[in-house]
Amino acid sequence: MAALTGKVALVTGAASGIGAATCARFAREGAGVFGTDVHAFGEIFPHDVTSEEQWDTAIAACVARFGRLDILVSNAGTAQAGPIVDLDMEQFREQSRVHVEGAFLGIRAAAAQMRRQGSPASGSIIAVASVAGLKPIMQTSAYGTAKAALINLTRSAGVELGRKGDRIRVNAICPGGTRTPMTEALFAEAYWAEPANFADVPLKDYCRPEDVAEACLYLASDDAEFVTASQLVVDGGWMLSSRI
Amino acid sequence: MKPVALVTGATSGIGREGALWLARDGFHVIACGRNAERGAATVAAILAAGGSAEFMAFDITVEGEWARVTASIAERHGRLDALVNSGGAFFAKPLPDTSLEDFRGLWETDVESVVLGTKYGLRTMRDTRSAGSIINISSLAGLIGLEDCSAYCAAKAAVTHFSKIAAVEGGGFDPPVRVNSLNPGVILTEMITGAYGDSDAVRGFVKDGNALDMVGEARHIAAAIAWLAGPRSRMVTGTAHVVDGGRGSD
Repeated sequence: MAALTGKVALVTGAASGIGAATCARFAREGAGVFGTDVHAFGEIFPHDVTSEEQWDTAIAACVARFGRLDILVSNAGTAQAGPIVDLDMEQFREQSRVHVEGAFLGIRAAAAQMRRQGSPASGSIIAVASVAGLKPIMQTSAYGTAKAALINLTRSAGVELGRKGDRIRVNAICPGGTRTPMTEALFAEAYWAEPANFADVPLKDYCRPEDVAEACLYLASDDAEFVTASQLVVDGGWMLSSRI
Repeated sequence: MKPVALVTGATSGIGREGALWLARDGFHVIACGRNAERGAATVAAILAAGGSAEFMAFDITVEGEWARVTASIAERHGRLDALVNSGGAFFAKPLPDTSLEDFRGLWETDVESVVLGTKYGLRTMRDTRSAGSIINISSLAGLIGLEDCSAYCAAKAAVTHFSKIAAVEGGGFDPPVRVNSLNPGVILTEMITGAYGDSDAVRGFVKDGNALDMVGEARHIAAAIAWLAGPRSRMVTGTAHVVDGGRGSD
């Protein structure tokens, strides 16, 4: 039997990259997949994750279509690159809004929906964070700060949503360098083709969106039913490198 | 040809359950342990489920035994795709009552066995050009403190960090070899009931410290072993994968 048969997942940032790969992977495992994105097209539901109202609308639309919600992949994100001394407040706030406030609103809304579906409530919430939230990466101070907050938010939520007698699991995935349209906007084709850029990664490679999607599948499935409040690092060992 | 997995401590608990899961995922499992009777039981369970397995009896703290076992695997199978270092021991004793002999005994069983296993696993994977995955069963106790378990916590911290260093070395092989530690919280196995007994109070302790209202079982760790062993976790190396029901964060 497929790993997610009968389950329904809402995936944010679903239009491209990790979100799109996760939707495809989940669908292959039999899940009902409701993808949302601020840049909506086709089947993708329009959704600005920083808006409280739009979270209510998105979850209601997901439930209207599939009848329930079992999995939230809070994946929507936005990149930032530049020296800290040149960082303006609006950039800093945008990072916090999308990654921290967006995930907070998502966790809160998804947990409420999961609780409406039964007691004890069950479900799996996955936040796509980053290795940048665990160690400093050059010129990503606002992004890394927001991802660090996101990681601790998922830990707190994991403890709390278990302690309340629910079985809602909350985990973070911390990808290393992953080639997606988001990162391709920062690093052109030549960057990804140059092995020297990955010499400090023990596996000498960068992540594909599919690698992160596999981690999402693992955490979403019942195989990980005892995994909560954890950080799953998918980075080819980059965390171990002394170079940033 | 089936991928090959070597699992130590496969005669009980997490190792036994891990061996069953890997066999179900299509690995030929070489189940290891000291007790031949219990090893035969693990192999019989795998065969009964339609899997493929063999038992090799050896002492994981003896270097010559690792050399013998891995040479045999290289010769007979020509590959080693996964190694699960699950064999180990546990005792609880207040530090003032812990002797150096107690400490060294646990260090030998829980740390030196993993060092030897990882060394011979890496060698075998390198020499047979296997894109292998080594999974060292550590513990949440290797990341946070646990009362009356100073020797165990120190040993498991050593295993956790040693695995990261091995990951850096294995990453340089062609093809690369991945090394991760798997850090379970409190799991209800013979290791726990052997040390504390199997009473309602013990079961309560096992469950109540978790954020999730459930008892950790060997199958929960076996599922993580299976995920780390295969290509689904292709880019996961050098991590300490915590499976603890939220215990360590609570």
